[in-house]
Amino acid sequence: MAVLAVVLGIGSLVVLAVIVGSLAGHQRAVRVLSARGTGAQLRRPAARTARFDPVAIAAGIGLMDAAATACQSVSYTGTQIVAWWGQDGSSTYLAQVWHRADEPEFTQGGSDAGPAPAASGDDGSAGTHATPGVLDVSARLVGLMRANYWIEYSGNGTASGRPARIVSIWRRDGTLAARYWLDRSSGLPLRRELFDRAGRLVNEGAYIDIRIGAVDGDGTLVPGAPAWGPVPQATTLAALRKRGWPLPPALAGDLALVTVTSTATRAGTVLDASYSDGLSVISVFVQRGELPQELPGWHRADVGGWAVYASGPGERSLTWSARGFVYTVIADAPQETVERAVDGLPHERGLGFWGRLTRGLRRIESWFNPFG
Amino acid sequence: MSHLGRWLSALVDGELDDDERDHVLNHLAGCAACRQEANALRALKRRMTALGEGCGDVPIAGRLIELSRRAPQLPQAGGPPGPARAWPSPGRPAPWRALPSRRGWTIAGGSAAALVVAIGLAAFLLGGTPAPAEPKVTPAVDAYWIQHSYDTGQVPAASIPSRGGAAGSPGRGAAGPGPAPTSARPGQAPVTPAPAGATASPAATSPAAGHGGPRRSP
Repeated sequence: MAVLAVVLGIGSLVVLAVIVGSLAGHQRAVRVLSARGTGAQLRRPAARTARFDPVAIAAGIGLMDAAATACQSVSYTGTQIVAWWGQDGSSTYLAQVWHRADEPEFTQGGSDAGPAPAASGDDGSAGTHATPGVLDVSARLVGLMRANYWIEYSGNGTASGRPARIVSIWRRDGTLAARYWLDRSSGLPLRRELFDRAGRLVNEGAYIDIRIGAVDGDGTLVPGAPAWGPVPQATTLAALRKRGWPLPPALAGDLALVTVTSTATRAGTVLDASYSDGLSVISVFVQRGELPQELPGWHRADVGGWAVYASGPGERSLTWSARGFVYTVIADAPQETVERAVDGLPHERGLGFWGRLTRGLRRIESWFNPFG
Repeated sequence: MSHLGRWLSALVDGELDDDERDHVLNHLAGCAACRQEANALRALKRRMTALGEGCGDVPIAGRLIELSRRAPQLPQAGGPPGPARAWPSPGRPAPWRALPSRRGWTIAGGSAAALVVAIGLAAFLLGGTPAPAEPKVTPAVDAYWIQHSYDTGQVPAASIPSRGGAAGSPGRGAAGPGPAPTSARPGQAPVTPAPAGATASPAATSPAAGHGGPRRSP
């Protein structure tokens, strides 16, 4: 009997050890980011007062240009851990990344909170949202970065166990916007920190495992869904705006309209207007119609004083309807940037006394006007 | 020019008693101007009546105005004609009675004010109802997240390739509905607006750090 008890006890310990061991990898990565995030939030970087060194600026721009080139020309594969800290909580997810030279970067990820809320769309689909990595930079993004920020080489360090050069991205008001750790040998971004104007860390992405020069798999990587196409019949932006589509040329002051794509759904045409300032990317999806009374998977939220619906992960999906259009915003950006972007889009404002009276009088007039 | 004043509208509205109507009709028989005006009033009444029940208060308004008017001192049938006689003969203009009394103005003004308030209230209530319903749409947020990945320059993979390229992985091209991308940045080619408000940083204007120029390793 005693022997049986000892055997059972040892067996239980072995099973427990296996379970703990299997979870250790992911928990270690999350713990590392969480600890760094907490530390970074406690050590808020102060606004810069000293003048920029032109040599450091030139070096920083050169490094970011090289990073964009490396992201295009170097093959690599790895796992990124990405964390977002927002006003209403945080989200962390792992993203697998594959990239072959001169091909786009393929990613696949999921939230650490399990499957995303069941926010069914017109196609009835529901499931885990596609969660991209945050370390891929392109020449276009670097160009926007140069237009909106100061890019400065600020020293050496290590990331993902590799020697790296650190490039700091400063706002024009002297506050730190981001920091990149660029691999010393390949130039690839290994780690990025994103800060808001108050110096709070709002996003961190880092490789916890990267293999440079190789990609898992020996065939062609296939996208999970095709990209949307250009707007119908080569329509120009001016023509779209003339037909009532609200596509502002910029949001929040420095988020420039980068691309406009479209797709046809059962509910009609949906336009995707992508905005970026080089660090943040905000996608604005616009379609004609209005939201239903009930929106499963979403909850009401206040963003910059506007009533919207929000959903995960990290409440980075926002939607509302105004003036005959439904707007859905998906943002990889600090909360303050999202608020300014949302504020720059149309909203349904209260009519007020005179507006309501005028609308009613117009309706009465239409009853007696045979041409109305 | 009418000689009968509001007696004419009372005739058209059918509000005169027999004696009054006889007097008015006698005048009309000898006065072409008043006949023409009576015809015009009748035509106007028909049009207003045709507008619907909403205009049915015209006789009421007429009656309200009528209430404020002093009743004319009609001569008694067979009585001697005298200066108090209100009915003009065909050759003699009737005394002017178009100006209503103070009470008439009050009632008319009150009625108009009540009408304005009623219309305003109705307009306010109607203005509060929502605009004609737009089609209800639910954002296809899952598809939007995939497209957002393209906006960030990345492609969401169909599934995770196994290390070494095991069969069934997307590396084999077996799992995705879309074609394998060949362009450097799919989803980035369509309408591309010109950069707005781009300003060059001092570094960007520096010959040593030109975009795409020779790179210096720090």
